[in-house]
Amino acid sequence: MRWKEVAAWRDRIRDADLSEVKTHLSPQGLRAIVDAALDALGDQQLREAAATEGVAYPRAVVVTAGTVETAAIEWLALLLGRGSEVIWKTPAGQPGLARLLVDLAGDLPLATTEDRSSIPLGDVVIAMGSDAAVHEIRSAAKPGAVVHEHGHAWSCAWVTDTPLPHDPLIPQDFQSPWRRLAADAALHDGRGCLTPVVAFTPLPLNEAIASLAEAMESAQAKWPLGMIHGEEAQMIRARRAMARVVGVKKSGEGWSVHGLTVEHFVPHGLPRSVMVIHAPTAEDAARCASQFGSNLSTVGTDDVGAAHAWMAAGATRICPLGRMQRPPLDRIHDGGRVIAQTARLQAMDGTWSVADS
Amino acid sequence: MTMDPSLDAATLIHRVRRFISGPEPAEFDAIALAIHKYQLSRCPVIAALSEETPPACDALAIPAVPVDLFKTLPIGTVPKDEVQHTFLTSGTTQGKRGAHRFRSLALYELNCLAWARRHIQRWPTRTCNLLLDPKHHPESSLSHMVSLFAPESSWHQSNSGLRTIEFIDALGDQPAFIGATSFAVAQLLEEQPTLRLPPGCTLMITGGFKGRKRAFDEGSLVGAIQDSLQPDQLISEYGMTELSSQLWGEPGKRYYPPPWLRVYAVDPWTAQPASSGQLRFIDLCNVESSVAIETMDHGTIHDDGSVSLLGRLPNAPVRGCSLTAEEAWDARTRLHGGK
Repeated sequence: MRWKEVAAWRDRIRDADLSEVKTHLSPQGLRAIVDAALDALGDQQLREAAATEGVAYPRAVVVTAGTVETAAIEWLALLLGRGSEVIWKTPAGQPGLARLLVDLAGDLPLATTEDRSSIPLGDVVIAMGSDAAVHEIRSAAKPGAVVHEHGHAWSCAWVTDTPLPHDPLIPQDFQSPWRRLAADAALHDGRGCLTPVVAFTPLPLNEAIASLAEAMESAQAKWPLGMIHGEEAQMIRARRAMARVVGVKKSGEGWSVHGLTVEHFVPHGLPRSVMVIHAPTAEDAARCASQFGSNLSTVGTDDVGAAHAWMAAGATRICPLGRMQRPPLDRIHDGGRVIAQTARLQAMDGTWSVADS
Repeated sequence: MTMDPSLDAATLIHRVRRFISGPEPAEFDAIALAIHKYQLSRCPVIAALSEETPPACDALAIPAVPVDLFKTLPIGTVPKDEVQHTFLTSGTTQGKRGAHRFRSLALYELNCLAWARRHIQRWPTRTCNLLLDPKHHPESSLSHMVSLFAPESSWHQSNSGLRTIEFIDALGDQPAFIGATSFAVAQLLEEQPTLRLPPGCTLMITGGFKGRKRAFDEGSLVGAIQDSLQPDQLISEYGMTELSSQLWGEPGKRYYPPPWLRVYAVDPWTAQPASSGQLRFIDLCNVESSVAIETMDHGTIHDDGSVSLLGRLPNAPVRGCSLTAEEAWDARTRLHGGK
């Protein structure tokens, strides 16, 4: 068990200079996601993780995609804390934070590689990426290895503009529902499966678009957009064209908001581009979301009463707006408990005494 | 929307026909602008897309309709009850298919044949194709185009796959034009590695490997074709359901558009013209759909107007765990049967 060392590692990361780290995010955007990831590793959370049952796997391999730079941090912390030796495989040519985090790991047994041949070394493999990628990772794992697959998914918001209690992890000027949503869309520049692809709202579309546009502009000022790939830019332009024809569009430097109708909705996330769709009730919105199958991950909302509708639609996590990209350490992700996936559960059968008698 | 009585489809089609029979490059912009004006007045989607742009003063200034919109919006000027033919984009990678509607295929067929005749060295008397049968798949623009090339045709692909043995039997030992997708040829080579085409055959390949599980780069495919199948002429075609005109070339080299199709590239970030970037087409034969189209393909435009296709952009984003539009539609189609 190395929980103390993990806490010290967390503190070193928080104090680290990230200016030399090359990612597709702006420096402010990178700092924000690192801080958000570390917020989940508070002392109390680590103590609770340490108290959960399970036996460490001797060696773990964590395979991440390049879209969510901090996706590995919670897994690394849990696996290292439990006592596993950990290999972090990053995408070829995109080390992101990996080298810095390994350098800061000190005596913790953490290594990083871009080499696929590391995958069969794991007794447990945490696989993240597209469905095709996680399928390949499973094929590459050694026989008998436990593979936890986290394939593609999408997330959305249900916004009624109802004020939420103050959240200390969210900046003071981003506490309103629309600004919380903009903050969720700004982290990771709107990439990854926890980003809000669409905001469903019972409010009039023009009113919602105006509120979200103002919030997106503020988010851009606080966390400027990093790099947009050409292909993403093309898709944003195409969606903007669609919104111009069938709905409402507003855009500024580094962001866009597209008001669309239900029939034109596809849950495809684009950087700092949020669709807004009017739905009279949460049930209507959830019905629209559920037509795309079982890939619905997180629903951020300011309407706790709507939770049952989203649960029925298959969402695996319901959270307050502003927390979509700030998941707690002990949570359900893609239907599995994160903490439980980092240890092997073993127990002696409780019926020994009965058998003896 | 106001209708300009001086603009009607028949007049515009007549002008394009004249251009095809004797292209006057100086006329291109005037015809393109007239077609755009006609489409602006009759297609609400094109009108909406053009709302925020100043009136086009040359062909390049015509707002280009992204091909994605053909999947979800009615693009074009043909009233529903006057649609004679509809071509649909392939359904291999997306549940939703783009539609290109025609009142008449006469101009489409005229332009297809005019440019193909310039590139196919030995005009065929029969075709033997690894393509869907256009009788059963009238929605396939590719099959329709190839069906124009010769009165005698056979088709050896269905939705369930290729019928390579049947293809070989039909091919026999006589010259033929063979139309095929790159993927179909790759599969043919895999299944029949010793097959050699009869003398006098022309092999046309088209399309990439988008949405396919297996990758096969064009260079390797061409090498394998030359080594194994040894066609007299190997030729490549680039077409899209949303276009009426095609580009032709040799595999791995430049594609040449006809004079009535202009290709240009734009910077994908700014949409400003660039020598290399996202491809846009101005197709004078798209009289009744959208004269200007924006694709997701990338290429370099050469001084003579020819195009080198580059495929996807360099530094394309890593996919990661977020859902793509294709995956979303696939999921929806699986659940709801494409309704």
